[in-house]
Amino acid sequence: MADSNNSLCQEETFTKVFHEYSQTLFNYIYYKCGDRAQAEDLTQEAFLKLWKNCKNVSYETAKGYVFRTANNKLLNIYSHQKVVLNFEKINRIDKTNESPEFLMEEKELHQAIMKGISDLPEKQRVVFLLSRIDKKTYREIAEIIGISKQAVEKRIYKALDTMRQISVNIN
Amino acid sequence: MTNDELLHKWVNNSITEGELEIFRHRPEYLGLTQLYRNTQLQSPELDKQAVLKKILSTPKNINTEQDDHAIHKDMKLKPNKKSSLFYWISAGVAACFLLFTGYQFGQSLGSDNVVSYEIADNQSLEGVMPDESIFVLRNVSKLSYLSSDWEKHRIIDLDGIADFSVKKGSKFSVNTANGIVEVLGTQFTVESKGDVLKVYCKEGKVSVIFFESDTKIILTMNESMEAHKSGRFLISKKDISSFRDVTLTTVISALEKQFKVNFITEGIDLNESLSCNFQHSKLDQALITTLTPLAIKFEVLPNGNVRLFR
Repeated sequence: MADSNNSLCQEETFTKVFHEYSQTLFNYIYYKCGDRAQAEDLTQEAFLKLWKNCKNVSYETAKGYVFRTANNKLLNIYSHQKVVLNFEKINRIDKTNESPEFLMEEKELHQAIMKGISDLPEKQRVVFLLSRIDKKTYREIAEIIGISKQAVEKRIYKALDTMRQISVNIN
Repeated sequence: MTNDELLHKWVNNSITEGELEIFRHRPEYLGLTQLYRNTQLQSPELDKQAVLKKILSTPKNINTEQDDHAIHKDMKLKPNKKSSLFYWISAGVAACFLLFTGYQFGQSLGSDNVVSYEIADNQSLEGVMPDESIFVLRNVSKLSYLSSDWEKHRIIDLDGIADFSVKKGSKFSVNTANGIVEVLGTQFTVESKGDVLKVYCKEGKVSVIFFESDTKIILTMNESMEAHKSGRFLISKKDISSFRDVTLTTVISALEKQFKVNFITEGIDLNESLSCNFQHSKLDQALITTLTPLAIKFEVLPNGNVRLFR
């Protein structure tokens, strides 16, 4: 039976697992559907199910469990609507070049890139963001989505090929 | 733009200086760096405390001792039997379907799509997946999977040991804490316990990725492997056996089994650690490749035994 020290039914253990994976799960769903509220709902539902089923899931397989639960629910309700993602820019420390023209260009470029990300096909968008923003390795991404590492490589390549042209076009 | 190793090394920040020099000269470099400079972003923050509070304040469906007993009765657990899977398949699949539905009623999963099983010591549990792939869970083990969309995504989580007989179809993956085993229709056994992953392929073909390494080992009929988190591994394939960080005893046992000889090893330290491979075609060759690095000499005696000496 489950090792009592590592039982997900214990609040301490469950909380640890929650803190480890909830943000990534939230990000993953958000990248897929572009709806913050829905991403939060599904994250909560997935972990709630884990909590209710804590007797039947081992500590080691908890991560796979929540990701697949959330993914499955999303497949049921997600209606392929147009996705608009919003991100906050991380403040940059170096501000060497701050002429108004430069700032305007940067703003245009930023908007173009945000649109570019939102317009990417879902499969490419999700791997690109998990790599660029969550800084996940290909192996981790493969695990999260449930595809092979080679599939991740192909999707990243396609995403980058599309995205890198955006800045080139503006300039 | 080229889809190559350099690109992905750059993406994962594992590119060396020398490689970067080459990469910098690619026409796509400018676009990529601008893209990355303009995607220093963070995703919206999840209010973890609020969500966690809501979850923990929801009452769980905790089964009482009585409920557990009732569930186990439905599952008709049997004492651990060797090679029960393959005998049992010919004996009758119908019994198994009953087993499967019986479990679901007992567990009251409601509209949930996750099916999970867990058993204790000295028990074994046979179950059927929606596509009629079959598994036997053994000893102290847990297994779970999503039953909806099963035909498209056949992924199982396993902690412990189970035998599988998989119908040909889409990729079938067994996820464990120590690695991932993938097949396309075959019979095999996976054991993931502690820091060790063992896989035996009875029929068909499986691929194994262990301990987050980038190595994929393919096993076909009657091949097996055992990998430890420490880096130690043993791989037994049709034509070759590979070892890393094992004792001399382990290698000698494998040689004895493969070539059907006995070794005489007086005066030799069998606990010595080594890494080596040997081919299965010729005993002499195998002895040379395994023993020379340890400066151990050998003599094949008239009766077929092999004497080792220094």
